[in-house]
Formats: sequence, C-alpha cells, structure tokens
Amino acid sequence: MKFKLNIVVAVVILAVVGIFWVIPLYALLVGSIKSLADTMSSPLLDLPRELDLGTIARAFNLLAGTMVNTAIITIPAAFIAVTVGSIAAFGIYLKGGKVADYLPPLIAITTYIPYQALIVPLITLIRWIEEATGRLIVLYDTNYGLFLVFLLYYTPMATLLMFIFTNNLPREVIEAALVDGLKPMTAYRRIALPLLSPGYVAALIFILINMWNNFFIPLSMTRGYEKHVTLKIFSYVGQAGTIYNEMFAAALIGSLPPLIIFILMGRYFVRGLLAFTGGGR
Amino acid sequence: MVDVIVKGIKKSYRRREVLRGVSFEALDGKITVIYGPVGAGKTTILRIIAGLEKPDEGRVYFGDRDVTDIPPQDRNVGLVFQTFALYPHLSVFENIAMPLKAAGLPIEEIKRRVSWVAELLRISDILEKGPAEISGGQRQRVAIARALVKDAAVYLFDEPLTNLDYKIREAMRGELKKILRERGGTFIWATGDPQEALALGDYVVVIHNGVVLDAGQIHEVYNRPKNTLIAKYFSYPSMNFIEGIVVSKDQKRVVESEIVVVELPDALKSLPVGSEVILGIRPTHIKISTSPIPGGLESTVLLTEVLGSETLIHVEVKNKRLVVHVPEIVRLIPGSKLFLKLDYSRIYYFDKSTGNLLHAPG
Amino acid sequence: MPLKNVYFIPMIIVPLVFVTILWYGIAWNLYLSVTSYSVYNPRFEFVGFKTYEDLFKFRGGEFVIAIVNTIIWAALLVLLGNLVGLLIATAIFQFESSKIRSGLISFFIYPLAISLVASGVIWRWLFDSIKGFNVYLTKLGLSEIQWLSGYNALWSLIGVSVWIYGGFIALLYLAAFYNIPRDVIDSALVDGADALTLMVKIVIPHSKLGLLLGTIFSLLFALQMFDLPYSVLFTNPFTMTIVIYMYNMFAYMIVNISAAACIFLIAMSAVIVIPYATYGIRKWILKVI
Repeated sequence: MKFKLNIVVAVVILAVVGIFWVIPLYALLVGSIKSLADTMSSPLLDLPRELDLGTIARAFNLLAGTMVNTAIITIPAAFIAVTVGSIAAFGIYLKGGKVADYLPPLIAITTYIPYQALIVPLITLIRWIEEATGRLIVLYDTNYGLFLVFLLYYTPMATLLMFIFTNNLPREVIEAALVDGLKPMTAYRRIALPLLSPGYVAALIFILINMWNNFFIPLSMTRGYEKHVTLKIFSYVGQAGTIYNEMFAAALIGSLPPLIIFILMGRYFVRGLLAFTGGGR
Repeated sequence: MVDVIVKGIKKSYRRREVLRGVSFEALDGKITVIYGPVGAGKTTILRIIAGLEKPDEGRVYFGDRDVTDIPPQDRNVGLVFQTFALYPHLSVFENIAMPLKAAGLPIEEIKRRVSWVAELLRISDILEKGPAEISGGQRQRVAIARALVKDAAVYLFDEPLTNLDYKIREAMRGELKKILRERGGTFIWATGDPQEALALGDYVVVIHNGVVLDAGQIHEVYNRPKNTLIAKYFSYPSMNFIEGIVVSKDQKRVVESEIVVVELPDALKSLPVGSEVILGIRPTHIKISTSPIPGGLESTVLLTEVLGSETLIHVEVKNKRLVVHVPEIVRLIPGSKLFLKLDYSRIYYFDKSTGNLLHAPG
Repeated sequence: MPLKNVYFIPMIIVPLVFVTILWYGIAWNLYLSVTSYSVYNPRFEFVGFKTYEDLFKFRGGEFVIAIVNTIIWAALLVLLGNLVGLLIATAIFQFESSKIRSGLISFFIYPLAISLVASGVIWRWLFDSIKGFNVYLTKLGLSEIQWLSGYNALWSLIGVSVWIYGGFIALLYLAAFYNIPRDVIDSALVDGADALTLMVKIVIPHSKLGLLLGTIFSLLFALQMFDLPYSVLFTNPFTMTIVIYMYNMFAYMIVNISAAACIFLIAMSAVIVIPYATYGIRKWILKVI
C-alpha cells in the first residue's frame, strides 16, 4: 500500500466534501422509511426508531400511474430525439464544407438559450392552433402535446451531442463505405451507427434522464399534477407541515428510475467520456 | 474498364493550393503510377478521381463520361486507402463482401467472388477474423481484396505499401503486379518510392508542388528526365549534379567543372563555348576503390548509410559532396580516402539556366 | 465529402424544422414584447418599448429584484462551482486507477440524476428550522441558522445548486486534465516535481478548457434556474429568478411582460454564452480553428 502524501490529502478532501454529498442521500433514504410517529417527533437526520415501509409502498401506488405516463412520453421521445439527431449529425458530417462549419453553431445556439424563454410563444402558438382548428388539434394538457414539446426542445441538444461523437469517427472508414457503393443512409445504418453506438447510448441516457427530471415543461404544458413525475413530487410539497416521510418517499420513488439508470450505466458513460477526451491515458 | 482522363484539376484547402492544374490520362489495362514526394498532392488526386473531393476547377472523365459531379457511391471505383480503412466491427469476409452487398448481388455470387479474391491474395484462412486480430500485411491484403472484388471501372491505390516493413513491401510488389495484370482494369497507383514505381508501373505521372512535371512511359521518363527537377526527385538514389562550363581544350569542346573535365558527346558538339551546363550522374554509375584508379577522383568519405543489402556512401571531392551507391554492404571510416571512377558514358547534360535536359546517355 | 442535397435535406429536415421553430419562437417573443397583449388587454397593439418600461416598473420593480437575484446566483455559482469542481477534480486526479476515478466522479455527479424538484424536497427539510440541520447545530453548541428566511434563502439555495452541479463541473475539469499530453506530466515527474507542484504549476494552468466550460455551464444553469427555487419557495421574492418572474407573469396571463422578460433573458444569455460557445464548438468539436 502506498502512503503517498498526496493520496492521503486527496482522501481527506474527498471525505470532507463527500459528507455533503452523502447527507442528502442518507436523508432521502432514511426519511422515506420512517414511521409517522417518528416523522412527527424526531429530526430529519436521526435514524428511524420505527421502520415503516408502508410509506414507500403507498408512495409507489400513488406515483405508479404518473410514472407510467412519464415513461410512455419520455422513452419514445428520447429515442426519437437521439435517432433523428444522429442521422442529422451524420448528414452534416458527410456534407462537409461551409455547411458543416456554420450549421452546427446555429443549432447549438438554440440549446444555450434558456429553453424557458421560448415557452411563451410556444404556448401562445399551441393555443392559437387549438382555436384555429376548432379544438381539433389539442396540444395543451395532453400526452401528445407534452411529447411533441419534449421533442422540440431536446432534438437540437441530441443533435449537438451526436455531432461530438460523429466527428470522432474514423473518416476514412466512412469514406470507404461510400466508395464501396453504400448510399448515405445505408452507410449510416451499417457502418456509422455500429461505430457510434457508445455515443448513441450515452446521449440517449443523458436525454432520457433530463426529460424525466424536467419540471418546467410539464408545468407549463399541463394542468394538474398527474402527467409527469416531477409534478407529482411537487404536489407533495405544498402539503401539510411536518409529515416529511410521505414527501421523501415520493421523491425517492420518483427518482428511482433515473437513479437506477445512472447507477447501472453512469460509470460507463463517465469512463467513455474521459477516455474520449483523454485519448491515450 | 475505361481510360481515366483528368483535365486541369485545381484544388485548394483553406487557402493552400494543393493542386494547380493537373492533367493526365491513365489508360485502360495499364498501371499508371502517380509519383511524388509527401505533400505533392497524390492523395488529393486519387480522392478527386474517387469522388471523395470535388475539384475547384477541372473535370474528370471515365472514358467519355464526365464523372466530376457524380458522388463516390455511384462511380464504381475501387480505392485502397493508405490507412486501409477496414470496417473494424466486421469480419474480413464481411469487409470484402461489403461492396457486393451494396450492389445487391445474391449471396451465392458474393461467396464465390469473395473466395476467389481471397484465394488470389492468399487470405482465405483469415476470412472469419476481425481486422484487429490480423497483422498489418494481412490487413493490407484485405483492403486490396475489398477493392479488387468489385467489377470497378477504375482501381485506385493510395500508397498501400508505405505502412509495411520494407521486406514485405518488396515481396508484395511483385505479387501485386502479377495479380493486377491478370485482373485487368485501369489501375492508378500513388507512391513516393521510385523503386516501387519502377517495379510496378507501366506509365508514370510525376507530380511536384501540385503540377505535373512529366508523364509517359515510366522507363522513358526515368531514363530521360526532362529537367533537373525530375532528375532529382524521380530517381533512386537522387542524382548527383555537378556544375560546369563549356570551354575549348585541345580543339575539343569539353565541360569543365571543379571536379572533372568531360568531353561533350557528339550530339552536343555545337554548344557554344561559355554555356553553363549541369552534369548529372547517378550514384549507381560511380565505381569505387580503396586504391587509386587511373583517371579517377580522390575523395574523402563523410559517412556510409547501409540500407538493407546496399550502401550509400557520402563523399566529398574538393568541397563538392557526392553520393555513391554500391549494391553490397561496405563499411568505410569517415575521413578515409576513397577513389571514384565516374562512368562518363552515363552522364546527363542539363542546361543550367532552364534546367532542361540537353542530352541523356545511351 | 460531397453529398447531394437530395440525400442531405431529408437527413437534417427534422432537427432543422425544430431549430427553425425555436428561432421563430425568439422572433415571436420579440413581437409579443412590443405589443400590449395581456389578459387585461387582449389586443395586439404595437406599443414599442413601453412594455419594457412596464417590465421594470411593474409591481414596484419586482423584475429588477429578479435580475439582481439571478446575477448574484450566476456570479456565486460560477465562483463556487468552479472552486468546488476544481477541488474535487484535483483530489480525484491523484488516484492513478481510472476505475477509481470513474467511480468517484460518478458518485459526485449523482445529484444530477435526481430531479431538482426532488432535491428541493430534500434540502427544504434539511433547512427546516425545527427538524433539519439546526437540531445538530444546537447540539454542537452553535446557534441556529434560519436557513430559509429572508436573503438567507438565496444563499442556501445557491449552496444547493453548487451541490447539484459541482460534480458535473468536476467532471469537466477532470476531462481537461485528461487532455494534458502525458509527456508534459511525465517530464515534470522526471524533473522531481511533487504532487502539489505538479498540480499547481502544470495541471491546473493547462485546464483552461475546464475553467471555460465550467463557467459557461454555470452561467447557463444560473440563468435557467427555476425548478429549485420554485419548488422550495415558490414565488418568494428573495429567491425569485428571472425565469420564475417570467413564468409568474405568464401564469397570470400578462403575456407581453412575460415575453419582455424572456427577451431580456435571451439577450443576457446571448451576450454571455453565445460567443464563447460558438468559438468553443468550432475549436474543439469541429477542430476548425
């Protein structure tokens, strides 16, 4: 075992800083399993004296419907956004020239603008469409509308992410595909996509987690709290005083899907990113 | 199987002019070598012929068909990349089969053709392996197989042997020439190695700084370099140049240089006295001896370079550096004396001011 | 590689449509902000810059407070976020094994996997004056802090945002460290540099990319800050950011003011982020410059 000073210092720093990272996680877990009596009486960070897993079970039941609804919207939306984005990124990559120099920044800018700033015209537009079609096309407060708005906002971001990965493809291998007679979409399907798959998956996970955790878009696009899991969690916040265990249970359950995905895939994601930027380390 | 005609190609990258008006023809059934040093523009020309780049000016014809605006996937060209560019996620078989699959050929036909070309290039035993599992030489053969398996109008080779050990390179040259001959087609081969060019090519196009210096039958161009530039670049080893002036000595016209005095050949007898001339002698046409040679030159050895089974000796004669080539391994001590005998019957004569060839030996 | 438009256009059409819609949204925002359209006055009358005037005067200058809060948030998040991120990244970088490094950095990033609303729930209770941190502060003999009252709320939430994004910024720095050519580090080690000198004199100066990205992202996060303050304190003026203000106006159907606030937000982000980011894209992703 090496006892180099720098490692010791590093461990100390990480431990001290890490405490601040552990506390909320601990609170979340512990808070969700406390019994009602415990919750009313003891401070947040104390260990539970009585366990009550019923809170979690209840939260699960209450959230299940919303989570399913969220999944139905975000999973297809994420897939479509990343697929469409990667095809577009590949197209721009092949096109080259001035287009490849100027189009990406144009697209990128739309991802920097705080997306909330565009919600006003968007909703106005949606309401106008509703009126114009005599309530035939209803987008506000519908799954369909939410799905479309997610796509609208996240596809440019997905395209941007896929640019980064696409630009690191081995250029001559792609050119070999063209010379071999493959049409661009076939070259994408057979050659580029297999080589891009780590990036594709990384982008997918990133976009999916972002969509799942998004609060502002569902807030603006729907009434009530049922259609999206963050709204549901939010709905607990206004509630009565000191009964935090219900709230925490809801927050825990609602955060489980992205957390699980993150735990399972996050490490590969990070390792891939670091390997990609570092080259030979 | 068509002639490839390239006319007036100009290409610049971000304000750097790579090709400044290149024109040549590559005939059907012949191996045309594009020869030039690094950066001369060889790869760019091949890429333009393949359709991977568009020229800023100029046209490319396959036969009488103008293909300049046709994208690479519709040109039916075979291209062997310098980096091989194999599909890393596919097996060797799938790599070679890709162009056939893209053309929509039936499975049986694909299998037949891939086996045939694999036989030809002696890679039948590695068809199931992935590109990462095979050696550099094998990868190169797979890249060549992928190009040759097609029924292409033109086959392009971008310095495919450059990344291999020189022993494999030499072996592959002979083998490939035979294979290409049998295959038939229009072959364009880019290289910066003069020996490779001479071994493989029927015709040569010498490119330097984005222009064509000369083109024609390879041995013609090699043995009768049009000017000193070609003589310097397209020769292995590089030609020795000695400057001199035509004077009259003993009623004969001779070229007097600081090292030698050479009698003018009959063809040049009418050169006026005072003309400035450059003599060219290939390192392979200088004999050496450690003891004095009658009519020879005394030189001091600067260094010896042993290359494989031959040696290049750098010497100095009266402040002039010369290179001598010997087809065996010799080691000499720097500073020692070496005696040279130039083969006067093999001397080239160039005009000093224009650099143009005045007379070539034999 | 030349690609015919007949292939190219279909490939990019969908994102291009979306991008166009988004640009159009910006234009429409501009339009709305120079009209008088609101629930009180549902007509499109051109009023020019009067809306902007109203924006600053409305309800006693509430918007100005929002601007100030947002700017404070941005400044502190940039400062603290970069510091914390750099600190974490430096510590993680001491370990040689890339497995350990990946594991550690993944841990510090976990807050991003939870929605900000959920984080808001957790921290709101950690800040609770009765049940939260204060209990332990008093146990330790320190005085209680009213974490969420008055301007304390702003500092507390800014702190939470550092917790949320710090890991991500650390990742950016770590990636920048990885970008340093191995021989630069090796030659310093051969010259006998110890870890501290190595970090201070070589690694950190080479991580300008990390600083740049860390700053840009922090600015973006701060400008977009909505979920966290809204879910904890709703429209509390002390934690009101521009986005909260804008949303509030929109919820009340005062559309023109909301749009004006949006334009303000867009302008702020344009001025700050776009030059850096566009330059960054061309340099590092397209490798043009």
